[in-house]
Amino acid sequence: MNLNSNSYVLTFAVGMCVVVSATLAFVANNLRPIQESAAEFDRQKNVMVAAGLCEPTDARPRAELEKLYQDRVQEFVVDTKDGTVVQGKSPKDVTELNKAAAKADKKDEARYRVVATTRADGKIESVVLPISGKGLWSTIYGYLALESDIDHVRGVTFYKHGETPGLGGECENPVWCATWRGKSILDEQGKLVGVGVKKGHVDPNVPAEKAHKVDGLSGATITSNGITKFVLADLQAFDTYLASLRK
Amino acid sequence: MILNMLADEPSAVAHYLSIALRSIFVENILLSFFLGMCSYLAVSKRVDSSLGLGVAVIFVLGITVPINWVVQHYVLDPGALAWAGIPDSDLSYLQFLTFIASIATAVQIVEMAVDKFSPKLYAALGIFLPLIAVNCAILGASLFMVERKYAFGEAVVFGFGSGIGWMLAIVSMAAIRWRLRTAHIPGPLKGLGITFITTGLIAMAFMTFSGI
Amino acid sequence: MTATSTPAVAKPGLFGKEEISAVKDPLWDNNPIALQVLGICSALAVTTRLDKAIVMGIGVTFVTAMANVVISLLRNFIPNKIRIIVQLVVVSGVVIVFDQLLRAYMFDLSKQLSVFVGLIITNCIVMGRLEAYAMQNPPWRSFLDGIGNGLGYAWILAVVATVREILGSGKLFGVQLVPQALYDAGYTNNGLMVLAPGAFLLLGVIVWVQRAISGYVEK
Repeated sequence: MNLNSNSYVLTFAVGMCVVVSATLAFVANNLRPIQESAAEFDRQKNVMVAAGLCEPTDARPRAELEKLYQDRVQEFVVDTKDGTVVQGKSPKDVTELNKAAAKADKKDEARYRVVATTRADGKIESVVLPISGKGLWSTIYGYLALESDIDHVRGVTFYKHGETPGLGGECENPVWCATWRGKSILDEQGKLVGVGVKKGHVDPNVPAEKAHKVDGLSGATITSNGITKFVLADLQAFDTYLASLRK
Repeated sequence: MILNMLADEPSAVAHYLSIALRSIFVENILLSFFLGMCSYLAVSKRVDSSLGLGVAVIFVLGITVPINWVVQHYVLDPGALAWAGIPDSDLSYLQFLTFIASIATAVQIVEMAVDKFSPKLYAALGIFLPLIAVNCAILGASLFMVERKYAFGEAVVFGFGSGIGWMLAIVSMAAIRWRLRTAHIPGPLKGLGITFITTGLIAMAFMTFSGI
Repeated sequence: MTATSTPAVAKPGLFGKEEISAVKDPLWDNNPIALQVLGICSALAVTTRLDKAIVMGIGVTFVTAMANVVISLLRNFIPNKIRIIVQLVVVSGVVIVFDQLLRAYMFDLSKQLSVFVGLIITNCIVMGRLEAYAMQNPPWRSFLDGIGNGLGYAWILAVVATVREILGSGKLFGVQLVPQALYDAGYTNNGLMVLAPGAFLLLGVIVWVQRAISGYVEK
């Protein structure tokens, strides 16, 4: 057989393409359900990390964490426009809802958002809100958990970002995230002020700073400012809903 | 604090400028992501060939990143084949394969075109073009472009910016290595060892750009 | 050339001299990173944490071994003209399989390795071994050669990662190693180690040490 004849080369190339793509399609299709469940578990874990139910590097087996999630966490869709829970819709429907809303009014593309509550002994322990917005280079995604008084921060986590490693990328550092705990999103009059990231260190002698600010990420002023901005913006979006919870 | 002003005034020009600055200096594809090291180490012995390879990389990156953007958005993404009447497709698992194929094809076409239309340029760039198909900076930039969800315009700027950053790194390294030839370096450190350490120092210098 | 002209391989057992040297040489005497100067691209970006480096090492070993076997099986049928493309397609295919497995079973790590799994395709070690070894040698020996080169790459990665993780974040496998008392006494993590320049400096030193011991000097 002539290995260099054009017809052989062509047959070989076509044959190889068919075999390779068939193999890959088979592998990808068989693994897809497992991948999707892995991605979903990752999301659930991030919610629980914010709510303080588990650690980012939790040694517990996956089954146990999944059970913890099922026992303690409920997720539902909130309409940020009137602050009500949308009945009969599950978190899976949120993309569809937003698409329909955006068609009616472009500004409404993020009108419906998924909120989670965690419960202990039947009582609400914390409310976990999704937060996201621009840092220096990238969109940062995270969860902010509030205590049952809907005022103090229970925990925060930033699970996806493309900031400079070692500088803005430090926003994912659990040690820094832990400093958010106990900060208050309302001022003394009960007005929403959010939690801000200060440039430099928080002065514990200034009450307003002590209550509403955390230490800045060193060398990452723009990432810090970005976080301050979008945390407040997202809290404002949920304001009506949160006010209804406080009652 | 230039970027601070840019961030507060998110006009289109400023936005593109910030992507260009990022890809050239702050997140230099070679110095902070280590991509394209193989050809970098092999070619950085001489300034003129470094310059040639650098230009070829800019050229190829500037072409392949936008091409792969189109491939990703109109073929690979879930639902991307809607225009062809197949809205439920999800070919994203073929990403690596199609990217590397489109890069190899683009390099081949560029090589033939340059040969045909500008023999002079071909004489200068020709030997470097085949090397580039397997340069990880090229594939890496395309993959980063997808991961960072750039829009088409951003992808173009990012492609060219990464190429310029890569060229800057290799040309400065070549100049330093030329000087190093006469330096007294312990035997086992010669060549690869000292090149790494020098690259580390250059990378450190580039890191200071993240302050702007 | 006809297929019959390739002599049947004499098999002195599964682990003859050739087989053992196929695994052993790349570990030290002919290390792909330190001596052959291949595969540096991805060697550094994934070494901020030891677990990332180990998974990457396993990935490269898996891909090199598998691609070596496939190419070695096909070596008498591959048309010379499209040799490189065939190799690229096989490598990409194996890498995609590895990436899909990673996404399914180690989601966390696959997120952190992000684009670097895909970059195994352009890792010069893989292509280099296909061209230099698998095109001329039978499958079993090629498989061992792939394993050897993968491991030769993996151990350097692991060393770099161990040093970077301990010095850079005081941890190993994400577990705190440097005691709190030391931090209280004024010790701080060396931030440079987490960043890119630290990796370059460290690799330079490792190459230096490896070459000082193995006695290799570049002209």
